[in-house]
Amino acid sequence: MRKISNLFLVVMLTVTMSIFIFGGCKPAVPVEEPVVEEPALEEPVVEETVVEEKKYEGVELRMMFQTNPAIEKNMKEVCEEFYERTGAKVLMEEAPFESIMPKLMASIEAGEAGYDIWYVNIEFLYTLWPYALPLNSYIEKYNYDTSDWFDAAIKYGVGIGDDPNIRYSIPLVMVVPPVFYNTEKIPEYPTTWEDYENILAENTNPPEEYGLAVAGVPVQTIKLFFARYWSLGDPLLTPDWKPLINSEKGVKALEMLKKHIDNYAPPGVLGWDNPEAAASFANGLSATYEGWHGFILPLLEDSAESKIGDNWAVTKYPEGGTGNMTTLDLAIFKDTKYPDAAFEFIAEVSNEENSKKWAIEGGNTTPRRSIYEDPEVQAAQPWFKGYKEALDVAKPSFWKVPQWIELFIPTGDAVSQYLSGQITDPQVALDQLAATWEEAIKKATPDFEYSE
Amino acid sequence: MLAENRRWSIIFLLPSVLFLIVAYVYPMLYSFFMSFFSYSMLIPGAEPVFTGISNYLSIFNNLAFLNSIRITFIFSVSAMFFQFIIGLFLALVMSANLRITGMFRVLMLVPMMITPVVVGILWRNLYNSSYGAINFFISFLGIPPQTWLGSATQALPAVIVVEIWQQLPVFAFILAAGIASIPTELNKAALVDGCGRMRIFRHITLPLLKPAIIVAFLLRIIDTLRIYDIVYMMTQGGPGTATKFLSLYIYERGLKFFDIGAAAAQSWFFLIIVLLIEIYFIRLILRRGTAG
Repeated sequence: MRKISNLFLVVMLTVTMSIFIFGGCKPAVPVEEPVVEEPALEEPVVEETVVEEKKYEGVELRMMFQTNPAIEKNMKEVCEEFYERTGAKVLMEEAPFESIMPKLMASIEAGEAGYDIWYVNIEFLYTLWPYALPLNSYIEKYNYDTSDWFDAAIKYGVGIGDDPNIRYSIPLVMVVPPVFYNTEKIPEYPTTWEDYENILAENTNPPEEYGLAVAGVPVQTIKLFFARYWSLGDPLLTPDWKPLINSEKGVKALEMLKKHIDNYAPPGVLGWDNPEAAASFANGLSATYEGWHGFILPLLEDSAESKIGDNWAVTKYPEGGTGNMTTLDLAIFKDTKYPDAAFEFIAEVSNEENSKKWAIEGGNTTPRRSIYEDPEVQAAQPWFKGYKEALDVAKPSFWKVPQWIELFIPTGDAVSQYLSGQITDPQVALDQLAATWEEAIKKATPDFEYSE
Repeated sequence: MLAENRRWSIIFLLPSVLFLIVAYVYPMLYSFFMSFFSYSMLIPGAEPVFTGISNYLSIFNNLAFLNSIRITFIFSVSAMFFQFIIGLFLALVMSANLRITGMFRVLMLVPMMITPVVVGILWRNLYNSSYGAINFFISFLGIPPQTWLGSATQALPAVIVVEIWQQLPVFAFILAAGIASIPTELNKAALVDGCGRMRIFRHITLPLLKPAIIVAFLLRIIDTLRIYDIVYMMTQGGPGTATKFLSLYIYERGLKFFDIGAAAAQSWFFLIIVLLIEIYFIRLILRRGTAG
């Protein structure tokens, strides 16, 4: 009797463990799932509409969605509309910027269980492009219009990988850090760094008011430094991958940034992240804010949070400066079973109609240039006019370089080390940074020339 | 009968052991294996290249990594020192059987119940140089506003304070349990012999508390050396590299740069250091056990 009960227990335990281990690891979405059940729930009662089978009935597309609260609601709406129209269900799985690469890498290793669509920062495609589907033929097949895009979206979205003509992704969001300024304090925004400094100085009267608000944690200082460095005219690297960052211009840019932060920003900004910097501008403490718009707009548009009302505008940096631009793109996994459905979904998400709707409803900064000139959009988002100016001069850092993040993050560390006084000589900070860049590039020097 | 029981025990244990091997032992062995390779997963088409012990040797030339070790140990030692001193005091208060002891114990646990991410955000706001509560309160003492997390010299102490605040109950409760286990007869006998409170504490309580102290340190060392979430939320390793602890550094190398070989070697190096410290403490416990 005891033997039988033990045997029974072992069998049960093994079955449970098997279900736990193997069942749990199965892809949540079987790729070729039959059609019938779920659509039947939503079938309308009216007879006439039931007749025709939808184009992608039963297709399920898994999408890795890089967390972006600004567009999440709109994205879900389009997923529903797309399902209604085509029968293809798009399942969104969210992951923040920090964990998107490990997840995608794991999914790629897992093969079949991978995601059909990726919505990610384009920089991740510098590594993942061998697993992405070239979209040129689909763009042609579906007559997808890219002519309305900003120059930067056209230029920097092509040529990733080993073929200069291939496009692996469609940009959905295009962002660059602009300058927000208080129009009551700064009626006319300056076009030179000298005038910019004068305005920062005029508006600095501690502790009541300061000229500048920035997020000063290491990674956020990169854009501030690049904005000043690029305005001086040099690229980050030579065509044959030698760092230029530790040149005289690099030193000048770094010193300029330190002067701006030390003299015109509230004390302690090096410990601030985006929310604190945004709040400093929105509550009127600082006259300008250099940073990402995603953090500050919710504050400025909320009358309970903002103390400056409508007295703010957006513009580009003086003297042609720009922080590092990036786009959030939609790409397709090359082994997807439904490339056409995936592309049609991408085309729908990013079409002109949705771009306009998303811009009006959530202020989504689309790569479609004409949207910024649309009167309805301008009425809903007056700041789009200035943002367009910033996008016109925008450029990315380390375009196409797979190890871009190994260059990017140490830049923040080096800039922050100088700003915080850990390193007192800007030349030393930049020489160390240049050495780090060289080491990272040496691991796999790209076989194309560096360009911006 | 014994043999049969043994067989069944093995059968019952097998699933768990298999699970542990798959989920725990295999990844560890694999990471050890990878630590002898150069492998940057960011580079499309890159393959692991065997480089022997070069990843381990490069640790000693890597100033950023060595700096992270230094910061991590400063953090760990300082935090534990203050946690021990304050924790011991609180343990004595808790053992005093006062009317408020129950309430006090519950309140003590509150910081530990808050998730590290929330703790990070909470203290980030408290330390805010412009509107933070800490600057507000120190102004009453005539101290000018400080930049705290925005200063390369103040950020590390600021993070240490948060660690002390949140994990203090671990020390306090372990030590309180240790005090409770000391036979009261010893104290009574000492009192009869004319010992003062201080002498009782020094010659009876503290020596008998040693095992509890060692256990508390043993547990806290592991936690403090691998601190990540609070620091990430508070400073992201800055300003500069002032709070770039080892866990942040290795995470960055492994899961941001995907420099798998180097990150694996650094992790193993770190693990060996932690193991050596742990072995030292475990031997202390065992020695006391044998002596007792």
